[in-house]
Amino acid sequence: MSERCIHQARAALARAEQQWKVQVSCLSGGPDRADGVIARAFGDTFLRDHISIGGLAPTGLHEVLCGHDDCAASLLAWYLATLSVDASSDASNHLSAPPPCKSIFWIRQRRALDQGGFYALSLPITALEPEPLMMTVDQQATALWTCEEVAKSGQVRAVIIETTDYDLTTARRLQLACENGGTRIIVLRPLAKNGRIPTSSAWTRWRITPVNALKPTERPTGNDHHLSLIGGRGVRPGSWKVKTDATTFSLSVADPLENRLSEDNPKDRHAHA
Amino acid sequence: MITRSDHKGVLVCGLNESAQKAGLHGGMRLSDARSILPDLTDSPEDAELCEGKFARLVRFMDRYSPWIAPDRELHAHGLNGDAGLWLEITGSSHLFGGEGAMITQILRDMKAQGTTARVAIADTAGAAWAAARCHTGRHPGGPHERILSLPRDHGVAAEFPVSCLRLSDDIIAVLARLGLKQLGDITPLPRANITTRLGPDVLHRLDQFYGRLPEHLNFELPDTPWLIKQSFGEPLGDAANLAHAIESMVADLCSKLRDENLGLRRLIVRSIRVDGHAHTITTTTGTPCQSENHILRLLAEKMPGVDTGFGIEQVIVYAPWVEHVAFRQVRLDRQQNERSDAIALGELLDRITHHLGPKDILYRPAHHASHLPERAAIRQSPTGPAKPVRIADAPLPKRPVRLIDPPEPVDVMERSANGAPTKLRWRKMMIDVLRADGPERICPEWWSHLDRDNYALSQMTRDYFRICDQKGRLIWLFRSGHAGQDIWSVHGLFAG
Repeated sequence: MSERCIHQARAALARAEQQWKVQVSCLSGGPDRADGVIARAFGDTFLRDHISIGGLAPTGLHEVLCGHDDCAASLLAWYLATLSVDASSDASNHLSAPPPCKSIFWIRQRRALDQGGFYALSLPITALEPEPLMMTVDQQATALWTCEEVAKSGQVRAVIIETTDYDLTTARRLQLACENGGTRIIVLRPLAKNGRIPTSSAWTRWRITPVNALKPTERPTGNDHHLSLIGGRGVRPGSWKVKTDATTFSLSVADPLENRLSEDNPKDRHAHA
Repeated sequence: MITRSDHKGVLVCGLNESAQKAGLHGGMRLSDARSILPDLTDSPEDAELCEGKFARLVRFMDRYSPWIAPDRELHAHGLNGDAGLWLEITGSSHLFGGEGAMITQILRDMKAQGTTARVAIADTAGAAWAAARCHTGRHPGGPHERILSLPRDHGVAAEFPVSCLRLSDDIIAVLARLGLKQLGDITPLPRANITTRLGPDVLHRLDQFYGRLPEHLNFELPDTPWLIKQSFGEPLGDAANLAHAIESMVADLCSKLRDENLGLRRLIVRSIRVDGHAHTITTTTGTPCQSENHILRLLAEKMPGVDTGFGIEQVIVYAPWVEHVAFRQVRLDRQQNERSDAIALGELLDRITHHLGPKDILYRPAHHASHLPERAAIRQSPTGPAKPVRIADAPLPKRPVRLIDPPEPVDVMERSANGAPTKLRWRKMMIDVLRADGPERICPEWWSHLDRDNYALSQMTRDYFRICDQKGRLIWLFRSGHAGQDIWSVHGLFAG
């Protein structure tokens, strides 16, 4: 066995051990992590294999990259913002009980995304209690200042901000604001015109795109999307086929077998425990 | 007729309109007045009754402006002895439909009170005082004739008598002896000569009349415990000292409010300089606030704009709007209880609103009973109570996640038999439609007041289609216009 394979095997075993420890800590009734992050399902257990910290961080900066036609990005951003973290969750790692009654703050910088404004009435009725706070600004500086102030205050559940490109210093400031206020920030950020993915220090970076017609006879329903975890801190990139439901603003992962065939590399198959 | 007794005898000090028309005037002897009108009835002046009625009048005029300054010098002018009030109406006249409508309403209300009044509006306090007494206008009777705009009505003001400058009787007598009877006779004269001959008062009043010098008015603020006034023997020349003084006054005010379980919604800080200039800072909160730290943080953003000049001699901190606070006790001891989340969120929204101003609006979306997508969502204040909204009687079809406002035009190349597009060009991209749902017809709402910004859009009958293209995108577009002249536009994007 080559050294590369041995290294990959060790990495996979370390990840599996980490996941096992987290599950044991959940069974014992409390987090066993310094950062307090609990592993939770994101519609599919495979996702936990890609996020080494075991789940979506309760506080921190997350990004959703948007192309000009990725209209499901808003749905994904809302879904990420509403994912709750409860220290007393049970071992099955289902989504926990509804979080405290705090609103979601949506900041839109005009013309940042070429998709028009977020239509709040498309949200399900349950998402409107409490009602989200919305704001539309012209300047990026105004949007970022508001985002930082709101995140630092800790008075909202999460902040979703639509803005244009920003540098690593700004990302670090937003991250610090999240940590101070215990809030999560989801940034809807446009892709560069040449399609390149800008650098960032976000915890997780996502992209969701509609699925083209795979076969000439296949008719796309508009609900099928490719959800990609393209990077972040301690994450292993991956891609899933998901179905979006705009009525409930939720995502459900398609057949795991289909995803396994699409994402796994034959070489890595031997390395998995 | 009201009479007053002094060393000169019994003098007339108050007349009704008919007596004035008969030629009587204030200051004349009662015997002279009776010789003109033998049937005149008179009553002695009751100073307390007059003061009480005047104070009630001041409170009555509060509905037009909170800044009211009674004319305390009227007895020194020797005119008809009629009382007067100054109202600072900057920024409030539009609430009454303009200055002309405001004059009309004041006259109507005063008449209903049984009070004869003359009202005038001008750019300066002195000009307003003069216009109310001396401005008859070329076509008297209309309210607009009582509005004096000095750059425009310079000629009209020049015809005012010199007595409208509120000078002493001696100076007016000297001016009359010199043949200077109107303002137009004084203004061309050299200023140095006027000062030498008549003293500085004439030019001082003239400059105040034309707005070249400010005039400090003693506004009467309503009797309220939520006012703290502090005068300084040594005027404050340093902005830091002023900030410290305001800090202590705001802390005292908030302490009083906490004792009564009240919170302020609006705070006014007025700094009066030694030269008469006054600088006013107004701050408004979305929720009742008792925290001086929060108030001072909001004021700190506006404090750099205060110019202390030669020094601040008086500071007034006043809370004209207070409300009860929803108090929630968490602890039994005397430690400060935790603030409710609603208060903390309200303070956050106040900071954002104060920093960004009213241009960037913060709101909560709410439903409105309308089929028009752009009217179905309304904006509510984030901190105020939720207004009752009307939701549509029947559930509406699915709506897009993103709404493009205004709708973007598209070129439809081909259409199917039922009118749905099969090939179109949008944003310079060719789109092949694989599936189309619809149409959903939305008609204009002829029964409601239409939005002027979207007037053209809201007037059109629209047939909406939900299409899915070859890339799997769900696009919401509509067809409008008359038969044979279809106009296609994209209005939104779906997420699933």
